[in-house]
Amino acid sequence: MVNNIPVEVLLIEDNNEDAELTIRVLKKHNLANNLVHLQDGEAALDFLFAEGSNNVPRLILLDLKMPKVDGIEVLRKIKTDEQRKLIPVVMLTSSKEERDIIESYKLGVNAYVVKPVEFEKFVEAVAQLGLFWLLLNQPSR
Amino acid sequence: MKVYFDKKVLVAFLLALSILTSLGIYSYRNSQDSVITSRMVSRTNEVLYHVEELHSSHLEIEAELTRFVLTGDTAFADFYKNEINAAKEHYIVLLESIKGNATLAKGLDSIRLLGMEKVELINHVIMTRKNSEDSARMIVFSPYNRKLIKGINAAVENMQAEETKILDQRMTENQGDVTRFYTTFLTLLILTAVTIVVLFLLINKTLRARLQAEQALSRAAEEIKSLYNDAPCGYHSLNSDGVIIEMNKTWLGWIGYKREEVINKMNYLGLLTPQSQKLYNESFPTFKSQGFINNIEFEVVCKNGSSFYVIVNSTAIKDKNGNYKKCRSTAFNITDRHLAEEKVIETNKELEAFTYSVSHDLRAPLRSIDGYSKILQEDFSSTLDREANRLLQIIRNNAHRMGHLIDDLLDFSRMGRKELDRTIVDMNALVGHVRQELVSQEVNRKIEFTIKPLKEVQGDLSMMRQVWINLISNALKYSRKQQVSRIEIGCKNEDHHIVYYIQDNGVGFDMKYSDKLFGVFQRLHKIEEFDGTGVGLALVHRIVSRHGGKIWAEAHLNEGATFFFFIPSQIPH
Repeated sequence: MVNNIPVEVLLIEDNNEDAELTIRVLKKHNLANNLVHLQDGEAALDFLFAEGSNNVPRLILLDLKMPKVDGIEVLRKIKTDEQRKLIPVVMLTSSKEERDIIESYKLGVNAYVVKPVEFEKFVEAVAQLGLFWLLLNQPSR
Repeated sequence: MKVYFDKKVLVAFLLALSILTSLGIYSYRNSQDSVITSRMVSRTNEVLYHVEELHSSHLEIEAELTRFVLTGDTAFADFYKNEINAAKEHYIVLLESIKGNATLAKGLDSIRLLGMEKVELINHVIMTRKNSEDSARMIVFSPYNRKLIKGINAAVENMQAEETKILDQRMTENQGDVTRFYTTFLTLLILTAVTIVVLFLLINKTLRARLQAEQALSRAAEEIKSLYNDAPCGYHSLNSDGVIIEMNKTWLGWIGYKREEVINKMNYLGLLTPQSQKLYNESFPTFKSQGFINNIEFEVVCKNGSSFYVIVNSTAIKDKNGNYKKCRSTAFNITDRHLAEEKVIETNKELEAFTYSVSHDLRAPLRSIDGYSKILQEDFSSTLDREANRLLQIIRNNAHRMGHLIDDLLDFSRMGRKELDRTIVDMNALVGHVRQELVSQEVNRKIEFTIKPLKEVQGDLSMMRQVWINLISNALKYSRKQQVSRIEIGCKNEDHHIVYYIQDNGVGFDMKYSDKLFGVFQRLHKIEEFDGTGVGLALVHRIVSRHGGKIWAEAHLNEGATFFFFIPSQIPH
């Protein structure tokens, strides 16, 4: 999956359908050119922290509940790493639980978005956050 | 000296004492009187004796004189001299004895005068006899001598009569005194007896009352002891070191120790698990200084090693200087409650885990159903006919609906678990905001809102907000079909509560279904008529209940509905 073009978006999502829908929306807005989709936290950590890895995506879309290593753990690792803590991380999750939201913000998440069930709203949410973080927002470097 | 007698007993006792004292004084004085009387009687007898002696001396002298005249025996002279001397002595005694009585003095004096005449006569006889017996006899038997003898006898008789008369008089007087004495004495004795009987009855009554009181007291003591020992809760007292100095049977029964193994031997610490020991060590000094402690929970270890939970309330007993002496504590066995609480906590955790997974796992497939249906509609619109599009839309509608159901159910569940954060809530501001927000979503509708001034409430702001959102959106929803929706919100004082109400002119409902109104997923209208999941009012009900309040509704079919609720200012425990 790793290619020479710098990764723009890293989507960490265990649900393939959700991932497909997300990617579809991003593609429609030309935001998924250099998108990498990983299916669990372990793979994400490998991708980001493997020896010699210089993968620094412009945006990480992170699901919360995943097998093996969950989203919170991935977030913690990213936000405690000197080099990678500047990467914007957006939680894209089904969970509306207060403790998840609070925990994520405590760890320094940049945004927390609850995936709407209704597809129109979902499309709207993903499109907006993609546009915002990849086009509107001024990154740290 | 402190007197413990009854007042009446004391009075009777003093009365008896005073009667006895007067009896004594009276007897003493009476015996003094009788001494005087007997002294007088003996004096009378003395007087009579000496008078008699004088009389007999006279008679003997007379007899000897006659014999002397006849015989001329010169021994008479000596005899006569002796008798005269004796008579003189009697006279001196009598003179002393009769002092003060004129009659007797007169009698004695005449005896003296006659005696002196007699002495002269006898001397004359003695002289004459020396010469002639006859002449002497003439003198002796002369009328003069006879007259002397008679005179002396008469004087003696007079004196005797006088003295006897005095004696009689005195005896009569004395007799009267004695009668009076006896009457008084007897009266006083009877009075004493009566007083003593009364005293006895009084003392008896007092003693009986005391005995009854003692019996009542001992019964009460028994009752208290039984109350202490057999109470359905534990009682105990600890000294300042925490040693158990009292403990009732119920407590001892729980822990399985004998009284003698515990009292003054065991420290309370010895009954606790290490965790409870820590709590005890932290709280005991505070308890001793502040004087009480309430609802503190300990886990207690029994003699057989098993354990149970108690909730303890204690009051400190302090001495005059305010130093801790001991405590009075109650202990309730709350093991059942504790187990139930643990169960509830466990169940809540399970429920939380369940809702968490529901929120995540059930929503994802729905999103896929909706998303892929939409993709079908978008990407294959050219090949799908109208019916296929309609069917896809039905699938999507149901996915949306299920999404709402899950969201509402989660909200409902979350509301049950969320901690209440009570503050003073300004209902006017809150209702104003909610109304504005909700009305802005309604288009092409005529809505007349009447919002009267609302009193503030002590409640959780976010929950109160939810209550008004749900109630106002309900009112808006069910009055949608009216040409003009009329909604009134206000509050009124009812039974010391501030009751808030919201009234609409909507479709209302039949009151026979009012019990279903606040149930989860309960709906009184068809989904085609009015959308919704049937959780809104259940959620409102749950919020109001958690605040210790009440919600109810009044309505008629097609005539609007009014919802009422109140929130007490403090949660009843």
